[in-house]
Amino acid sequence: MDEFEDRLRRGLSHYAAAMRVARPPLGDLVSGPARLTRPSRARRRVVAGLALAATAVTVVAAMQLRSATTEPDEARVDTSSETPLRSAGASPKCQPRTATDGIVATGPIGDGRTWEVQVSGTPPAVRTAVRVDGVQVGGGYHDQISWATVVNQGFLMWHLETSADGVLLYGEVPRSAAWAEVGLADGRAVTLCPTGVPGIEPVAYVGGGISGQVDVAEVAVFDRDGRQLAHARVDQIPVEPGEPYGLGFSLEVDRELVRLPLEGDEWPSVDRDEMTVLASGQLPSGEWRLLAGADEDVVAYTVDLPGSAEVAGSTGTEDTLFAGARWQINWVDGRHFVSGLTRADATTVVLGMEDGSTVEVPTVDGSAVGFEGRLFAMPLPEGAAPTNWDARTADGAVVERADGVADAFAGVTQPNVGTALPVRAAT
Amino acid sequence: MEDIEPAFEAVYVGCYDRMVRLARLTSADTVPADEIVQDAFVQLLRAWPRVENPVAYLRVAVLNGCRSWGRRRSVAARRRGEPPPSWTVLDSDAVAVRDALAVLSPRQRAAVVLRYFEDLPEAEIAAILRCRPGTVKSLLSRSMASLRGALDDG
Repeated sequence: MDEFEDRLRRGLSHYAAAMRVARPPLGDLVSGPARLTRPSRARRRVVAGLALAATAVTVVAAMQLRSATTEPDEARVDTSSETPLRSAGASPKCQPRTATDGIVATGPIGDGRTWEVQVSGTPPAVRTAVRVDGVQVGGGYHDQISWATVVNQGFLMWHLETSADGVLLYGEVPRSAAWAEVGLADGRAVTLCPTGVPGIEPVAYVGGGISGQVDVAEVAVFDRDGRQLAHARVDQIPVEPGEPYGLGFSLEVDRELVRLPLEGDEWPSVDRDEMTVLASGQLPSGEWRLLAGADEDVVAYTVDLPGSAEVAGSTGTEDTLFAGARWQINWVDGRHFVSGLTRADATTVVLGMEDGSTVEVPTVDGSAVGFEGRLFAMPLPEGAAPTNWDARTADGAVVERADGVADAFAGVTQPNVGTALPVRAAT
Repeated sequence: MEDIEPAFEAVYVGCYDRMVRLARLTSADTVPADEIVQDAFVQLLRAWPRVENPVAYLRVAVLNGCRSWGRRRSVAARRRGEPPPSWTVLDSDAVAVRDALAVLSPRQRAAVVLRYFEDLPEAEIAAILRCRPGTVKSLLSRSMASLRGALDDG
């Protein structure tokens, strides 16, 4: 050991010794507030990442897969590149691939069923759909604000869905990624090979299906030199093996290794920290908040729902927001949650039930934060099943309404499942 | 308090202080080290039945926690102009090393701290940083060159 190394060790030791450390009693850690009895801070931090990454409305349907008749004794992995389950540390062999049809990964799962992940659209409106035997069982989509978090901040959106047949896992990776590695709790690892999609330059996609009841512990993305570009621990989120369950989570790129913005120009967006809280309220599991804001190019609103990675909302110009599906239905704490954007003269949104009763949701003026319209957000009473949904002026005139209301609400009955309805002028 | 295995408690008592110091050294004290270490122990407790090397697990959890926190913190600090955290009294060696470490990138700093504070071999550092041993060698080489310059200047 040379003199310099010795000096460095001594300095580090002195430096560390000078730090005052107060170790709390173990009991405080284990049973104290916000520890094991509630989500840990580590988990909350993951969720915070999700909130940053995802005004992307996660539309993850529970997989309706038939149960496996026998308990598999070994996990089986199928990916677009037919990469087999391997031991952690083995060398992956992924070849560059482009999916002109958008199908970035496919393979068998469970008892002879076939899954596929397809990416469609053009940025920022990029959609991901996962199908099993041709039936869509989940997916997600980006809007301008969520795409901006991907491109500008390097928050990569991933989805994990479980069923009795296995686990489907898919998500975004930087274009410079050579492979992704899914670490299972039993120590094994699964390699997923990236596939690019023409027209979606900032990211490539990976997907994999793992048959059997496996517990995914972590996900990491590497470049061809084996450097880790992004990572997330998945065991910080309560996944229930074998139960139909879907979740979204984000990987944050290593900014030393991945240049931001990804592969191009920065996307216009509104910083969440610059948004204003227009409305809020309490639900059994916590506070919900409606936030909105604007910058020179775009306006944005978002709804934070308690205990959920799912975030409702949208970003765009006034024109694009009003042209799109803008009345959203989510599910939180055993009830529907509605939110959206309506005309500047609509002071109330009214949801009509089959029995003739109504729920009135007041709208809030968005002009103070740059919106030319009005916004609303509110949880509905438990058991409410709307069949009509319209927006009304102060004198009661219906100015806008949504169609297909009953079916839309019937399709949203669990967390992390949401939908948005287009709105038309009332005639 | 929930039932905790004595072995876990022993790891907690034996490693907590060192993990806090590891967090503070590798992050240049830009993270809430106590919170990150407590989170790491919570993760460890959850994963306890399947963890073979608790100390190695903690190191990875702490470094991941620092890195994740550090990115957000650095953004927030730039925006809000937060002052740097206050410090305890240091001797001259400690001050020199602290200042020298500040010239390194977070990844270089992690490699140096793992090598010269934790006394880990390059292969183990590579496993923690999820890179090849050759990358660690390169990281350390560049870091030492920077540190020599910084310490000599000091």
